Amino acid sequence: MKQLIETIVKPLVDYPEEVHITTEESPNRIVYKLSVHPSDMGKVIGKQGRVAKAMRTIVYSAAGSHHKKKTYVDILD
Amino acid sequence: MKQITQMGATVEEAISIALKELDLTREQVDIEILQEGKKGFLGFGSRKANVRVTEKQLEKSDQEQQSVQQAMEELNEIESSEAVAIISKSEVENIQESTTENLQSTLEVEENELIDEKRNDNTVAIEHAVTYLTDIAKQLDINDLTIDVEEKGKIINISLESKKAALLIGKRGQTLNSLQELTQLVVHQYAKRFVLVKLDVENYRKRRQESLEQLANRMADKAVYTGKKIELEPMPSNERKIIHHILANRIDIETYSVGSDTKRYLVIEPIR
Repeated sequence: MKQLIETIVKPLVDYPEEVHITTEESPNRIVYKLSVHPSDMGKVIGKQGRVAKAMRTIVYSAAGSHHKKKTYVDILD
Repeated sequence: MKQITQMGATVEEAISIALKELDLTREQVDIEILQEGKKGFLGFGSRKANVRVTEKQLEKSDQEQQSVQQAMEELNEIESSEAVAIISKSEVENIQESTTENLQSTLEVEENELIDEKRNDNTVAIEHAVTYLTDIAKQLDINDLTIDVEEKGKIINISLESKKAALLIGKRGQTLNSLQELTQLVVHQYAKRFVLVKLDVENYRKRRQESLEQLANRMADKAVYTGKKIELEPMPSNERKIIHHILANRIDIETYSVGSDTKRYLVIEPIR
């Protein structure tokens, strides 16, 4: 799942090396925390959060078939 | 080699101005029509004709010709994007949606006219898009993905096929639309000029259009029958357009969209 987020995000940003994802797991939910280079923030969020929304849509649909836990994607600043 | 691009009210006029400028006769030049002139309606959508006139001569090296060509193309690109900007500005007074939809249709019209000119330089962008999609598909456990790309002027149609198509489409095409949006972004990084990416999985778009048409007619009937307006669920602009279009001929109802951005939805109102 972490890899999926990376494959989605890396081609979109200017600094692919600085894409980092950490996971936080509790019994019924998983939070993926995504951090990117400060100047790439806008690229992963998009106008009105369009890119972030598109990314979440794909991740959530993949997560649903992967495991039963609630999944979240956070973008850290 | 002398080359000049010339604007004019009509194609003929542009050519004659250009010939005068170059001091050549019509037989001595190659004429390429970049844009047909258009009268427009009430001043909206009118457009000047644009021709490129090149003196016939073959000795020059290819490279030089190419660089001139490229410069010219860039120039044209700027011009055409400006034209679009002007058109969209003049329509700002109309409701937001009609602007975007008109813009889309102007793009489509332009695409047909400029079809000969654009080519070859989207290959890199397409390659990146294809790898991007295959990479994502692999992460989604889809290994039998086949990708078919078709270029049509400014539109790149990408059709995907897989046994697990449902996973790529998602509820009401949500995943497909998201993928389309992201692929568009990737393409934009590498494309030299504006292109539109359209994604399709196993003819989903066509099936969706059919079911939307059915839904539209059913809801319109219901609106007339109950005498109350019916609000549909939020849909992306292309789907709303389908419904507007199919119900445009009916005189007993009216359709319009309310809300903003992704929450924009369509309302069918019966006319008493």
